[in-house]
Amino acid sequence: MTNHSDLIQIMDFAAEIGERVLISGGEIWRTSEVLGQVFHAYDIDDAQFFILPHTLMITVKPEGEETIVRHRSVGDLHPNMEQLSMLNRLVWDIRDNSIAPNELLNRLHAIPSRPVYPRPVVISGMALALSSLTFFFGTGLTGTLLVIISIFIAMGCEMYLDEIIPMNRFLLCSLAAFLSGCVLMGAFRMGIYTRPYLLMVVTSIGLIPGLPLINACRELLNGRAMSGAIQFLTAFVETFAVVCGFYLAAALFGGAL
Amino acid sequence: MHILMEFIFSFTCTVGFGIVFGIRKQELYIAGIAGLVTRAVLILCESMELNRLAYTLIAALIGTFFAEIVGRRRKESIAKYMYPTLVMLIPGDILYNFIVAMVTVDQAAASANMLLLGEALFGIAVGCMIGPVPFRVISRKIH
Repeated sequence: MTNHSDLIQIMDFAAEIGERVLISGGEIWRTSEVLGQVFHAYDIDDAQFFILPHTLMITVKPEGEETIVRHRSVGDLHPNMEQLSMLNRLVWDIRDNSIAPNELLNRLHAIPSRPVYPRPVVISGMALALSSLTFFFGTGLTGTLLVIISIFIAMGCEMYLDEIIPMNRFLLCSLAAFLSGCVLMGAFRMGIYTRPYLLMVVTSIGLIPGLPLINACRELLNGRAMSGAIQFLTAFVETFAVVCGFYLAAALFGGAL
Repeated sequence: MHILMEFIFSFTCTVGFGIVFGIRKQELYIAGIAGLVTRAVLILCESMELNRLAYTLIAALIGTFFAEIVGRRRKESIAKYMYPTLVMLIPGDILYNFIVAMVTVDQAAASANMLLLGEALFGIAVGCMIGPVPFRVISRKIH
């Protein structure tokens, strides 16, 4: 039987680890599994979770006591597989070795939450990925160079502009697409490249939330309709924002998508 | 020569996405190999003239197998190796074309892209869900 102060510590830990799993790219079912393993390790069988991409709620009703609730509003997704892996290992450790509840938060805080790579390296990684993809789209060397430039502008805008002028994610996606679209359409108008729309498709892959799209489908197939639908809708709206940005850039330079 | 180039660019593409996903540099080559495996399966399936649903499902299945094997051997989270295998399959371009068709009110293109998108997403999702099943069954029997 877990006493009240231990239960509070386990709840605080569960809320924090759940939040970090979601932010670092864990799916809803994975977060649910992580929380389930934590509570199971301390023989708390009546814990209930309500998890959505941006919301996490944990409820436990100990016998003869008031219900304990922990709620977290989860921020935007920042994929960090290294952190996700370390969080998973911590949960396996809890499952196999039953760490004392007062140690849990210390162990969790020992896992660094900062990104593995600095932002310029992440942008270069995306440029490497998308410039490699241009081979499959058959854009040629000029096209590849333009994609690299446009992805540096789009990702740079997405990563740095939010700090200067805070704005919502959809507007940010639109602006990033618009600026990179202007570069591509400018190159088209100057006669540097004749197929800017193909390059917009390649650049859009860097801005479209691909993994949430697949997770949405998996959630729906797993019977979690609400979280699946929310992720689908988010992916569609973000893609719509990207298309709007490119559309405006094309219109500004007298073209069409 | 073309196939060799495809493999090289698949490798560099997944290494790039591996950086974006925060896979540490000592393990980036595994992400690259994951992309290479998925691409090889895709090329094989395309040569057999399978439809999109079939080849994305098979590629996702093989990719998930690869991630399970590597993850279990290295005692790491499977997701760490599964995401790079899937990244080559994500139909980002189809989703983009679908929304463009919606915006430009091109119903024929919109429905064609929606069908392709549905096939690709369903194929990947089912492949990812079936992939870990044999490993979990074996793991339960062992423990």
